[in-house]
Amino acid sequence: MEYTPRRIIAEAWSGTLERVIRSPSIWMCVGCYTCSLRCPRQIDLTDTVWPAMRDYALQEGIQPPSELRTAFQNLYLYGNVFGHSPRKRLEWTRGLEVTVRDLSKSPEPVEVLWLVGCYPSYHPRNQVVAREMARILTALGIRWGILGKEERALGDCDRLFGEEGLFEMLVESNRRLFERFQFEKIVLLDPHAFRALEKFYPRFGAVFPAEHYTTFLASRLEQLRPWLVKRINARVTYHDNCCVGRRCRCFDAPRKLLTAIPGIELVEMERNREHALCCGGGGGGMWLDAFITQHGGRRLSDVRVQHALKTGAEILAVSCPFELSRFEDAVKVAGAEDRLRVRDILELLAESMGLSEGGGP
Amino acid sequence: MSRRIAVPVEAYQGKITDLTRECLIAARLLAGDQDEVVAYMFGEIPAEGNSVLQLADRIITFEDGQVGQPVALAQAKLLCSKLDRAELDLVLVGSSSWGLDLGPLMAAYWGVPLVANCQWLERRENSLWATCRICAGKLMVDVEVEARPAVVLLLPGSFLRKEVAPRSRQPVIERETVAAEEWDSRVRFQRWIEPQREDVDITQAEILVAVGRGIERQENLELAEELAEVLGGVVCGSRPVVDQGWLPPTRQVGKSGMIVKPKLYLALGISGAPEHVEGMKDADLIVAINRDEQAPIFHVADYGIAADLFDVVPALKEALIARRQET
Amino acid sequence: MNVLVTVRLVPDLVEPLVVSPQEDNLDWEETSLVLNESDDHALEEALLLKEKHRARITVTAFDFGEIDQVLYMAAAKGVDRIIKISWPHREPPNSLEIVETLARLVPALGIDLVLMGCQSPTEFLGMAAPQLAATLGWSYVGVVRGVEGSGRSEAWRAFKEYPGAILAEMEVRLPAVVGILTASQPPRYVPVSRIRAAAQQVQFETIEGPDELKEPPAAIRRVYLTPVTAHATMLRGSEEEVARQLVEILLEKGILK
Repeated sequence: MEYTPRRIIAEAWSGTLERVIRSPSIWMCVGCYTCSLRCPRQIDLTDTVWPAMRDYALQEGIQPPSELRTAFQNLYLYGNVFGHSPRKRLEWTRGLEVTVRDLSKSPEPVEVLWLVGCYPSYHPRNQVVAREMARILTALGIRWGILGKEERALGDCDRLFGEEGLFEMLVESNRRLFERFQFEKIVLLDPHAFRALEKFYPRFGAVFPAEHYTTFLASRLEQLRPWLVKRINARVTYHDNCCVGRRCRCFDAPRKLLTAIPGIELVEMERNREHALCCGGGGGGMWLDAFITQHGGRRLSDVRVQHALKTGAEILAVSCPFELSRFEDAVKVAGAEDRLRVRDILELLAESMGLSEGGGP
Repeated sequence: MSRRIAVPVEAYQGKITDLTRECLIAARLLAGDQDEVVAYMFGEIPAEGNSVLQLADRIITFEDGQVGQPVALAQAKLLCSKLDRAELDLVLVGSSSWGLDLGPLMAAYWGVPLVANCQWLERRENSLWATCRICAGKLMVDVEVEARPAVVLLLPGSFLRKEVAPRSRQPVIERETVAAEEWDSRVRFQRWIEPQREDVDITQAEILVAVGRGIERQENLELAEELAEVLGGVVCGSRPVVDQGWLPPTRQVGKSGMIVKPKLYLALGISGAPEHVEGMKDADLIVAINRDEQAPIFHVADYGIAADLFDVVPALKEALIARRQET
Repeated sequence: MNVLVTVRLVPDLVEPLVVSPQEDNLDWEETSLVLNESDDHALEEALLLKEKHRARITVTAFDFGEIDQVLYMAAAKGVDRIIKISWPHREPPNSLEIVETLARLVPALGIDLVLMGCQSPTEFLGMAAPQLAATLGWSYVGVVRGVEGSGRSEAWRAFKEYPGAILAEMEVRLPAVVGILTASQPPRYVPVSRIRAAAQQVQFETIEGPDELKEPPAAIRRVYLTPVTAHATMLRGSEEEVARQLVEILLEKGILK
């Protein structure tokens, strides 16, 4: 990365930002918040400088990398980055044995409005996790509902990628959408979406109480504990995702959930909690691996998996939808499929609760 | 009353195209014994592969000046001035790059119906019934054409293997002159531009691993490359992958790319749009992997796997390596 | 030079298509619409001509569906003039209706070059781009990837696509209609904030479209979804199982030795 945060600020001081926006550097930020954490002046660089640079670039007509363009286009037209039909948002529920309350079809007051998210709705690996979440919420007797085919992305990705206008558009339509329903709380699987809802939506007057699933379930641990009957005898290491972890300083909830599962031995990677190394998926990174490696960057997920392997853990536990596929790819690249499995916390909980559909891949 | 069916002949790279052949077959089937099939040849009849012209009753050639050059504008004008509309039933043109210019221009010059994207054509009493295939092949429309003449753009495939009884007589060949002022030179052919050839000619490969939009990102091409290597094959792609610049144009399979006939065509994350299928449907064995069980590719493939290619491809690679090690 | 680009909304093929109950048309109420891909490319090609040759671009469209969003996008990309053609009907105009209106409009606007997508997914009883050229008595080349100036102001170069990734370089004298398949570069991205800003500022001109729908030149007897005929033999099971099955098949067929 030629233009680090420090250099960008230096260029801004000397009036030569033009150079910066034309460099590939601005597209290499993965939104990990480490610079924000370390800034001695506590400037939130990740949420301000990088999106601003990218927005400036776009306004100047600089074309973002083509994969990002496609992602923006898809978000704009279909409300998801894949370009899948919104009508297919419920495919993950096919064959699910628990009741799914589709509030868009039959509105009713619920305790939890669960925003499933694009990856868990459309991506096969993540759909497994969505189903486990449905089972867990039902087992706990929580009255929950989803938005079915009306659900759209929350837009955190495009905000970070510099598409401020697209983000605003999504905020407006989501706000009108959520206002139609009665719920006590919004729960999300995606830490990026949670972050957007918690921090940025209120700036547009869209204020909704929101929680990431880890804190939500951790606050109900006493209710959850009696259900955790099956032992999972494994050494597990937890990867702190950037949004819920470093950014929101929430490190304990996921660990509480994991240690509540009988048989699990929790070990820590060297870089953990606020020092965890990002998986590289945020800020557009999910779409830009080729771009980043072409410009000399490393795949952070490859490095992170090495950290996990060093702990001797058999399971790398995650709580962010991007991480599942990124880490599973990285495990394959490392040739370590027989040593390390990647599982979402929800999959482990469901397995211990005896609800799981098949123990994952 | 005997009617005439006109078939403008397309010669490309010195050969009469397969699509022209289909048009002649269709014309012959529609004409039966009563009507006359007339082929119109721009330039000299090619020395090779011209036996298909035997299906016509007459062949009219235009050989003066630049008439043999692929300029649809001038050729459409020429045909419209030379052909007698009164006796003409139908003009049948292949839906090729050239035909897509020629056919509609002729129909508009004459103010007669154009039937584009025609998959099938037949007579019922006095009407011509056409079936058109549109919307990326997902929608069909049956139309009844009463007005004559009509200009039809024929899609490839439907008439290729139709049996036609051999003609008892050789077609009559007539040469017509074209005066300079009869040739509209507002559009002129300059030259052919060949793509930069790299070392791989996918039309010669026996095994092709093809990637489509489902490969999602450029870096995932690696997956396909590795599989191709284990199989002893070559990677190619559909249009979207090439348009993104992830593969060069010489690796594009489809209507305006390459037509391939390998022993094995392994389609990864390809939906099966007609323009792509046109390029690979004659492969000996077609295997498709696509997450969407409804994807049209499964109607063309011999074997299909409705699963995530990112799961199946690595497993396939492993299985192939294991097999290799056993033997 | 004055360039006209016509943009059309067409069915979005990402979504399943819905046919009307009478089987005589698509159910347009249930059909999502998107910008016709080759028209998007035609617009990009026009913008490139603006950048290289200071061409003036007029974009025109029939007022059907959410065409305004497309026109705001065109405005945000920098076109000079936008003309909306009124169209108070429940289905979009067909190619002949498009040709009739444009054939009136083009001479009135002093246009030298019309750039349009050479195909659209719903064309079957007409093709707008070449038929507009014929109606105007103008030059035409279609299935084009890229248009270039050739130094002489009346003659331009169009690169026509042929199979095998081969191009035919054609010299085209203006005035001309060129049917674009793909532009010389992928259509540029314009940020949503610019589109929204354009929506606030830009003014469209509107003109009257035809009063009546034109009778199609042939009778549409039936519209239906393509029937499924053949189908692949599906291999099922875990990825290891299907991989194994596939390897067996390849061995059987002699593709693997």
